Amino acid sequence: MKGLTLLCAYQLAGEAIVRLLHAPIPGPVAGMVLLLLALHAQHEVPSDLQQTAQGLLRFLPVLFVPIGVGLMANSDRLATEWMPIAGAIVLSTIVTLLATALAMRLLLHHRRQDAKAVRRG
Amino acid sequence: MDAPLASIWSLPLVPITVTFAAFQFASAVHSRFNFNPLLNPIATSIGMIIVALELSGAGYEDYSAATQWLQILLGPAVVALAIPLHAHWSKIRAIVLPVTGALVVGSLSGVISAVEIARALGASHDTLIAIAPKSVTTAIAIVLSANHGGDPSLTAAIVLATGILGACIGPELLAAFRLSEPCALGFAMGVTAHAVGTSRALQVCTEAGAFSALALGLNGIVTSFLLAPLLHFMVGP
Repeated sequence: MKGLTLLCAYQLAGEAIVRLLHAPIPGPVAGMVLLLLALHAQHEVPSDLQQTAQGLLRFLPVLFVPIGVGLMANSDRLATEWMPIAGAIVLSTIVTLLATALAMRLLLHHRRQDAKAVRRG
Repeated sequence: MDAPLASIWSLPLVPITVTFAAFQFASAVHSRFNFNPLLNPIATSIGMIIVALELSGAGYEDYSAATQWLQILLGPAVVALAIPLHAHWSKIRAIVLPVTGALVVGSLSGVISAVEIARALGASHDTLIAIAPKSVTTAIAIVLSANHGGDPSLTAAIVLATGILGACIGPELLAAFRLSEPCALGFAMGVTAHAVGTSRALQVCTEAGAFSALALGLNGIVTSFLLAPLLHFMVGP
């Protein structure tokens, strides 16, 4: 129970900060960043928090199902705009995959060459 | 004829039980077919429930009232994503610069290419907002879309479709461009195709899976921060 209380408390703290700073990020994401910082300050994750988080994350996919069923309430948009939506999903997925992998690879190789240069120098 | 069947949905436990049962059945099918991404259990259970509602003559309202409370758990679940992210944190200590660079490139290209391609193909303003967080992990994408005035259910469907497509084509596409080093492949899969991509990356190798899990968490955070200014410039207020 302590784990669930902690998760809710971090979300509330996140919501409060976001509102106070008028930051355009979702409260739960701010709460997640706060928890991440707190976990870094400690050396290990409290076991009850670990258990609750694991349980909740295993349950997470089911939470998306009712939201997805909401599609039937606005199938009009999907009927009229399926082409731009499908086109953007396909092309953007290809672009993002390649751009990310290429950036990672170039930056990693750049770093290795730097390291070699330092060793030679 | 339709009325008696449709009214069954108004018992609060019926939509919940149907949701859990459909997901359990869909998960069993998914594992029976070696976790083929095309049989993603979230997508197939959404399809089954929509068909069941239509066949019984019920509308979304009959179903949604009882399942509303499930969505309250979405917030704490997003916070809980910090725990797996923390567990993978040690991997980036040695390669902070490549990870940061690839993350920014991935987040920007994911949002900008989705919005600009959809706009060029004639999508409406609301659809552009719903499509912008398409590569972000579903829980965060849904809150982001709602925050910016998009339709969360359309975003959920787009995010799922992106994950399924990325998981299906990712490793082969990256191999064709000689980009299949485990860390580059895993990172690209996590940034682009979130959790669905991560489960495919795990099938490639554990190192790719770990980088993918790290990337999906980091991309959720970075895109949350970048989305407001990006949408402001591309779509306007």
